[in-house]
Amino acid sequence: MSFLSKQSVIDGLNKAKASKTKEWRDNLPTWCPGCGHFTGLHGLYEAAEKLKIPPKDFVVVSGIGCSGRFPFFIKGFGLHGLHGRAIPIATGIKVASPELTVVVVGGDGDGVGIGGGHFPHAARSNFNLTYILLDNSIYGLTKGQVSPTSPMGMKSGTSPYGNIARPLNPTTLALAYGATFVARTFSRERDMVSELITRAIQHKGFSFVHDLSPCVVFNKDVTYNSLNDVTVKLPDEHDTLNRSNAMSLAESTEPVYQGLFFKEEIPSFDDHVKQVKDGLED
Amino acid sequence: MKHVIIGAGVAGITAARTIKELNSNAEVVVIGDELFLPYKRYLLTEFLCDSIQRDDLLFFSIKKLNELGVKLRKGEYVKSIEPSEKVIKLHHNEVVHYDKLLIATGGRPGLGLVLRPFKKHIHFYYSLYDTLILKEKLPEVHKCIVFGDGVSCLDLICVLHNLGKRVTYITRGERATFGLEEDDFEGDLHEFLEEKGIEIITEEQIVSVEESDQGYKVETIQQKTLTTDIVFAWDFYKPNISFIEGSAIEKKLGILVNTRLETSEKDIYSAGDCVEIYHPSIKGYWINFGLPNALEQGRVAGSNMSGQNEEYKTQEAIVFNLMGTSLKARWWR
Amino acid sequence: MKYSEITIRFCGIAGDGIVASGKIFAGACANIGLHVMVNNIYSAEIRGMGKSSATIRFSTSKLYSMGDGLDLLVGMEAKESIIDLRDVKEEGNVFYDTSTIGDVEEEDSLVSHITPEMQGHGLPIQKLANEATGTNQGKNLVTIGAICYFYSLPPEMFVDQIRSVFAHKGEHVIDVNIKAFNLGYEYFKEHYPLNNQFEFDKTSEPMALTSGNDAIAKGALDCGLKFYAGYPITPATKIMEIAAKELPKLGGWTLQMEDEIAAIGAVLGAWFAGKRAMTATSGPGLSLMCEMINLSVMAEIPTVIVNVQRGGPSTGLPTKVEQGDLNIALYGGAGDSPRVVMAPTDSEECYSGIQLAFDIAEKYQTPVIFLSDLFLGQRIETVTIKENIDRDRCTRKKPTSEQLEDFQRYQITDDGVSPLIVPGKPGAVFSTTGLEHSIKGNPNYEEEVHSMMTAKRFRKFESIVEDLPHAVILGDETADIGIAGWGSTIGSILEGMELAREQGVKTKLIKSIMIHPQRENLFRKFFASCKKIIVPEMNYQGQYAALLKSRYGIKPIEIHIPAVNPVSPLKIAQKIMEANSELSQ
Repeated sequence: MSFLSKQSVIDGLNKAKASKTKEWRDNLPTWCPGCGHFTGLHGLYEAAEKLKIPPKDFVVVSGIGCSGRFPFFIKGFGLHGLHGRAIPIATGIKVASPELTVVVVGGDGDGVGIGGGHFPHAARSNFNLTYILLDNSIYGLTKGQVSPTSPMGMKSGTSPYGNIARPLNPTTLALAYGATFVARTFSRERDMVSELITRAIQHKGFSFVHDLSPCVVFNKDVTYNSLNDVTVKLPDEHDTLNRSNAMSLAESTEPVYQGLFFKEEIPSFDDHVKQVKDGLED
Repeated sequence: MKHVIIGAGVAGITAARTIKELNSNAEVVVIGDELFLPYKRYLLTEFLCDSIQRDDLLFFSIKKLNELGVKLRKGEYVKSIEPSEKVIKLHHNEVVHYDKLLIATGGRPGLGLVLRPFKKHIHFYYSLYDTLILKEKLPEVHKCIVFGDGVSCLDLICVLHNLGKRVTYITRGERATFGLEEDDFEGDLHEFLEEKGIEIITEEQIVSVEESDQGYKVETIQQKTLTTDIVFAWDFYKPNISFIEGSAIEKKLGILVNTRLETSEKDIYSAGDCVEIYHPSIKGYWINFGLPNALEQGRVAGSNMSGQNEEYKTQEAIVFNLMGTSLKARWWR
Repeated sequence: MKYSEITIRFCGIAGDGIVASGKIFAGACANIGLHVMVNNIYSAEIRGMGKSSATIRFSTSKLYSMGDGLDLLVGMEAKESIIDLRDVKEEGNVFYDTSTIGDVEEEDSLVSHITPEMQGHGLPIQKLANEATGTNQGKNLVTIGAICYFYSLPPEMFVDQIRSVFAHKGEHVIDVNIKAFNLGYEYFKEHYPLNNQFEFDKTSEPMALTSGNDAIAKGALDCGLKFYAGYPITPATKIMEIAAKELPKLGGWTLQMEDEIAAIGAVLGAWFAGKRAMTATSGPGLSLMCEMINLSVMAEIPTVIVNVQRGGPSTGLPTKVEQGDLNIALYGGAGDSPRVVMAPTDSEECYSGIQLAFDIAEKYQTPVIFLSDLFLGQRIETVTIKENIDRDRCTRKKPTSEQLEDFQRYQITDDGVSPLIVPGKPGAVFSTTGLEHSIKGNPNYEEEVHSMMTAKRFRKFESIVEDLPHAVILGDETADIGIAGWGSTIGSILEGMELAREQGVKTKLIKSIMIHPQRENLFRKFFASCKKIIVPEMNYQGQYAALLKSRYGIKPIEIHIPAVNPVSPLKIAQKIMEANSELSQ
């Protein structure tokens, strides 16, 4: 059933150990072979390398779920906290110590299910955080239950007669919440994932990367193949300053666009805080 | 049956007791404007002189009120009466319903237009409150001016004199009579007082009272200026019934009642110093005063309010002891 | 009459300036060196419907509680004040408004409920206020003027205070309020000239005022608070408001989060980043925070949570006091989850105690739950706080350079405390987790590891004890009757003990800001010396009594008061007298 053979995974890891990103590599990932999350992790390694983020200043905060294990695989400070609560914890870290690079990693259940109440506020506050949502449309760690992004009709252990609710679309949510950097990627496209994660970290303000990251074990509906059929790159002429246009493209399910939907340069939370503090000193 | 009694003096409280004794189920509310439990007004002078203690003034204790089941409301004024609605309205706009109402508010000293502006410099000698204030001030007082009329004025002059104060009495009259009949007193009251050392200024009246370095400066209508430590003055002493204005209750100076103490309005009675009662021997309306009258009127009113049929009969005159000489007083005009 | 202590309550509806009355009184008393305690009680509604009252007790000597009974009830709104008549002392006074508009039925009239023992005094509050201000405002000042005359207090003390309280509202507002005050004063002078005497030493030094909430905020800021995250909740919000204003000036910041989970999450994040941080909440918020408290325990991330208790459970009684959150503070959360629980007993301890809470949290990498309550948090009182300002304070256990080389975040140590590093500093990095973990911080579910790590987390609590302040024994050490209490109830207990002492009954009290852990030997010794033990507290279950019973094996007389108002000292005294008569039988 796996997309890659076990041997090819081991080969890949050995290659990785020797790669230029080894400075940021820590424990070996524990995901199932073929898991989309490997791409996201790889993207984060490359971003750290490209941006030369010193591990001492690099903090990865995660929630609970398969994606929650990121901090253990990355050399840097890591906090694997509570299910759905990575964003507030990361916010505390970043606001208390703005000089740190803080990346939040979580899954679809974590981010728009249990933790769905935190996402809008981090976005509208424009905290200088990067939020990578690895979306496999399934609860994988609990062995396959529908998630908030599972398609209608999807059968699972907890939806034996088919999922009745409509799926949420994290990309459109981010746009609606006022995130100032919104991208969608597909884990098949390694280069695009690395590039957009890098740009997201560079962005001043709240950056969001919605990574479609299939679960090869439990999700029979949303798969590499199913996504392969529908994903296309955003048109070249797409204006990334146009939020409403980005919204309508993001809403599309056939095709599913990937790339940078939106990016605007407005003062981040840190900039506002600095302004207030400077004002108090006068 | 709800009985409301306005006035917590001797007449009012006696009526309350009578009603409760005749019918323990009756609801009785007594509303009095003074801040104290019912007390014996006629003993205030004794209290002022320290011959009795404050507790001795008490007419009705809380325990006794509770035993009887009488509800007392102190320090409250009635603003108006609406006999047609059977309600009274209190000064804080509370509306109190009644089935039977007794007005027993007594009389009060008052000031006319000339002296009213100087009210804050002028003392009355009427209530326990006045007495308490006076008691606080007296040690500092040496010279007093008294201007007024009536027996209470005479009473005040006597007590001040007995306490060793220098008293000047100012009266509009040619002589100091205090409105008494000649045969009420054995001898000449005016000379009697002068012999005791009271200075009496006749055919005069006070027109202003101002604060000065040494107490108060008093000016008279004859443009005389006097200094004093304290001024007592009142232009009149009359029934305290302004709140019946606007109601149909008949009155002259006081509320007019028949010998059953019924007023002109149904279910409203009146007793004590605020009534003018038909007096058979004079063949006219008179205000009866004094403790025996108040007690008897309270009893009769309470009894009639409870459905009995009693007639009020004038009581014996009361007798004052005026510096060793007896003085009879029965009613005032 | 002559007084050296007076208790007054202003009673009306929200918007009557009741809170301002308390504030003016408190300031005026403090300025002339009187001891004062002000307790505001209000409903959860903002205006027009909710009842509001301010009780002011002032004295020439130190106050520990609101005492029992009112010398004066000021009924600004008749209907709302009727029930408060039951708190008026037998021969107490009542002021009421004679100028309200519209007819009042007997049953709704405050005056008709005044007993003959009490003394009612009418004054046209509304009318005089109108005359002074031209609006409906100023009613409170009219009554303060009347009170000032009634008790022969120096008018300047109030006039000065009116100036300072209304300074930000401009000259006009000051003038009309002073006018309202004067009209009330003059009205009483004219109509009730016979007044009382409040006797005090006119040369006393001014005193400082604080509320428990203010003291907590100030204590935290003075010992290096750098980050605050919270969610508004009665009665804790004031702490957040102070932090929001002051932290940016001190290089820190305050975040209002989307809920209490986010608030405590952000606080954990800030501590992870090495900054002193806290949040303050009340029962419903603490309930939401329990999972984060578990994370704090498991990942050994320090945290400080102030819980200003209100009536519960659920949304409960947002504006009433209760000490019902002890159990959730001690036990709330999953698994074997030790945490420090502290409970200040007065405003002074709010200040010094919160500083201790930070030191313990940081040193022992543990959550500290600081249990204040609505009464302690909101009451304004005169205090003598010993300031202790050190904003660079740090009690974190740092690794040696040797330890840094192969950094073990959860190194097993004798005292259970492992060295801790923070991001941004060179040397080492680590990841942590709410999963059970190895000494390196990697997830690990082996039986031996779990046992070892659980034991380590509990071992810290044995070490903490050495750092704790001693429990204090107050009263008469030779007494047979001993009392153990906690939180703001201690004030009422102290006054109850004094009432019993006046009746010739000796008592002693063991008082400790620490609920868990405690210096158990001191408690054991204390309890062993008592023939009767009384444990009063403001909850139905006897939560503290239950803790003491299981911990020390005692069988106390329990006083359980599911409170909405502070505990009456008289009630405590009565229990003491009962215990005493049982002893002498």
